[in-house]
Amino acid sequence: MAVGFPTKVDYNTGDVLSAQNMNDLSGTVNLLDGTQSAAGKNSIINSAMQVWQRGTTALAAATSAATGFTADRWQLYRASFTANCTGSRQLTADTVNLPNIQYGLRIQRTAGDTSTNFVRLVQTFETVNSIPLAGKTVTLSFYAKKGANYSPTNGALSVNVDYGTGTDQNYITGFTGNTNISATLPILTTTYQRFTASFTVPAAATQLATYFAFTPTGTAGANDWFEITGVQLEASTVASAFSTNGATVQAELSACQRYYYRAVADTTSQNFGAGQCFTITGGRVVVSYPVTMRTRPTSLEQSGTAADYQVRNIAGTGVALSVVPTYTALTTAQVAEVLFTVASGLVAGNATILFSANTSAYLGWSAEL
Amino acid sequence: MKYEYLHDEDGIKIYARIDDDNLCRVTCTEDNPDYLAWLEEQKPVKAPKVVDETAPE
Repeated sequence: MAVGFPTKVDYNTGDVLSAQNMNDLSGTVNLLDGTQSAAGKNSIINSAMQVWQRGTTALAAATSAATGFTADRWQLYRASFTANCTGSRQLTADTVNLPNIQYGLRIQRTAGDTSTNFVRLVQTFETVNSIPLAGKTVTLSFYAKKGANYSPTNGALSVNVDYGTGTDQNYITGFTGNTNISATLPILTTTYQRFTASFTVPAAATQLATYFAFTPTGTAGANDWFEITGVQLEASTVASAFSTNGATVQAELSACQRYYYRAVADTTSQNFGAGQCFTITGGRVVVSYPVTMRTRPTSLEQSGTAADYQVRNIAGTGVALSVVPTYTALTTAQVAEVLFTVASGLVAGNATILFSANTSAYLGWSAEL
Repeated sequence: MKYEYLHDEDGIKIYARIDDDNLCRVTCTEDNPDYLAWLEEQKPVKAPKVVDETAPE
């Protein structure tokens, strides 16, 4: 590897370090190699498909502009919010064509589906992460491959970057002044390949979105899918070696949890939070997020079955909820509050703990765009 | 899927999302994006346009 600087080793009093001293003699730029990570270089969060808080299989396409999240930060939707398309985590099992990336995201049309409405996988950037790229030449790179029955014409994948001039808008809902700034149509094969595209982000851009799309043809076969991973958007005229947004898996998880957090019951009797009974049939518990969220979550997700959750009574025995855990208005970006209701058996004023009755229980909060 | 009003809390309306299998998996405020998108969908259809994404240029 060429040495970037300095080329001059010995200095005398009065010597000036010149540009010539700093430049590589061969004119090349030293880049990090594939085993090194440069935190923050890559603007894509969860670019290596490492974080899947909502599950790892059969994650359905959106039924509205606010749904359809697959791997964290990656939203899947079809024209007219058509169904029969899912996202799932896949082992890449490829150390030849990929720089040691464990997982890929598979976007698959359900076998037998006859709709030819487009399929899009999008990551919307919030404004604070878009403005640093405004006015700069950037390069989008990614690794992708197709299934044996991938149906679009010529096996093409549409790769796009759009910008807008609003603030923290969801791409599907619509950017103010939405404009496409990069559109390429690489041809996929059944082996992972790296694709790149360089372009300039207008200085007026305050929102960015990257999306990968295809328009299916005919009836879906068993392998009408594409897989993608190692997605990188960087302020550079060329694609550098891939690295994730965060330098570690924990950093990547934390970045994702700024937008969404799900507390999943790994075991029966996993505690979610402690609180107080206000009556003999109910009360509230507080749950701390691992990181401060982007904004105040406005919803609470849970399994849909009240009996998946219990609270402790005065004897420490579990009492099943009779109503699913419910959002309260005291939920903030820092800490959540959950309302619980049981048929009977609590003592007003007593402390209690909300916990899982089984491994189906979970609590989730979204601060997605 | 539909939303049902649950109660008012400190002036904020809380709603329950009732899925097609009749289970409530989400409770939310009136300014929740998913709830607002659902409200929007109750109006005349406004969904992504159908275009050919991968047609040769």
